[in-house]
Amino acid sequence: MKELVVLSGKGGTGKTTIMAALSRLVPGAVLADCDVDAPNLHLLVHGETIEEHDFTASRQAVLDAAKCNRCGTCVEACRFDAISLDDLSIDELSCEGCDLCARLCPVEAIAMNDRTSGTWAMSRTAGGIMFRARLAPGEGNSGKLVTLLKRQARRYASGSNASLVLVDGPPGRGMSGHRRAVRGRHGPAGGRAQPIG
Amino acid sequence: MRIAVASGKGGTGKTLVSVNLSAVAGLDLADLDVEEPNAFLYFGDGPSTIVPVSRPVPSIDRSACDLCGECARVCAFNALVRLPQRIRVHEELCHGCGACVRLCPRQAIEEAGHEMGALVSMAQNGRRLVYGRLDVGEANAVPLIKAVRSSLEPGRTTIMDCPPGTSCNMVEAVRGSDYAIMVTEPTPFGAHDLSLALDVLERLGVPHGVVINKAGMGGVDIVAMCASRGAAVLGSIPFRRDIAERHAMGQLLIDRPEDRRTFRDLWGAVMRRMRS
Ligand code: SF4
Ligand code: SF4
Ligand code: SF4
Ligand code: SF4
Repeated sequence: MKELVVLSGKGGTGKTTIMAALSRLVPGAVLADCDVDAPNLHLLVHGETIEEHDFTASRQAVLDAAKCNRCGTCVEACRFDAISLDDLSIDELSCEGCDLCARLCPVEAIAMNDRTSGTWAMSRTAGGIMFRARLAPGEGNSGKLVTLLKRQARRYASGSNASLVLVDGPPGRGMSGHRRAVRGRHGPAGGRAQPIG
Repeated sequence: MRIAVASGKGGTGKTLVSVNLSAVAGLDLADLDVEEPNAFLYFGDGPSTIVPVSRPVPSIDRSACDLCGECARVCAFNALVRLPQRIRVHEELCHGCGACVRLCPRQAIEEAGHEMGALVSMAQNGRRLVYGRLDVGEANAVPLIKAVRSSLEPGRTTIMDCPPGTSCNMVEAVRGSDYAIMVTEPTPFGAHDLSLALDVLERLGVPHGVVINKAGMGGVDIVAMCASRGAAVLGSIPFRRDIAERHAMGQLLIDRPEDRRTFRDLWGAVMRRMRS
């Protein structure tokens, strides 16, 4: 089984369009849209969703206002300014799930809940099976979601004797998902003949 | 005052709007898209100040550590591993939460700086440019985005070129802005990603409006979509080959009168919205 990754240094260079075209050229390839921040492949390659799952990779602190005595320990400890004692709440977009506030709270008013950081799905398209995922807004676990998606795509490909996995990689050169999308494999990069490429 | 320029997806013209709008209105410019900053290409050359930016990571005093393993147990990000002879720190996994420092029973952990990038600033004709440059291989851009944001001068109005999408980087950049300009293009991709980004802005409570770039291509009715979402359309930039070419060559569009008018009108629309 071979794996081909399409990447780009910045957004808008045509990665997804190239992927969609390649998927037509190689019938039976397994597709994986690893651009989990802004998955778009499904807009070009239509399909019917067969499975959909939640992606849980982190936790989230929740404050029980009835138990809290407003001592302020958690607010002072949280490095991410996620806790407000004005309305006794924790902002889920700011909380990193580090658990420090829950460990320090003297009256156990803070619980750590699992948090759904996104979803992933498998769908059947005219060109083959497609895996795609979507990170929930403000989530930072794109690397883990890319790893999960690729593992699913590879597992499916080897189970169905598919010869090729086509990966639409995340744009940019940040390492959150890139290294994981490419790890050990190589492919062409979508590029533009411009200074801003 | 901080005005964020963002987009649901990359490549819609976020930088084009940021650089031309800030130039036409004589405003400061900040590039918070630290993974791939490029607004500086339109600002002109000049002496710049480069300040390294670090994020905190634990540093363990081996003479004080008794290898109890508590730090590795409390780290929610698996950044600490207890080996037979020492605690190994995986700095790339550390979120800088400070839990290990605080909870080590022997106070054996201090914090040290792990360099993650740089803050670059320069000034020209009374305007200031500041941008963050993330080191290649750094996974978490958020501390650098915060550093760029807190380097902005509160008394001045700054146009901020923000990361695309709806990731934690975009949220961190846009959070707390006085206004957000969403740049989109009239394609199915553009409409799809704009809708997701509008959800985020609503959740963050940042007032916002939409600019339609490449108006005339794609055939998707963004105006109707904005109307249905209650988002104001601030203006549009025509789909013209010369615009794409001049922007791609690193030129400002406002050097031509008709395009200058487009951005003047856009700035007028933003100011009216912000006042209302
Ligand atoms: S879990 Fe960590 S980030 Fe979240 S609120 Fe508590 S201290 Fe802050
Ligand atoms: S540490 Fe616990 S009791 Fe104190 S303010 Fe926070 S939640 Fe309330
Ligand atoms: S918690 Fe402190 S003493 Fe215990 S292993 Fe970690 S650094 Fe060493
Ligand atoms: S600062 Fe937080 S994330 Fe970093 S090693 Fe310590 S406990 Fe882990």
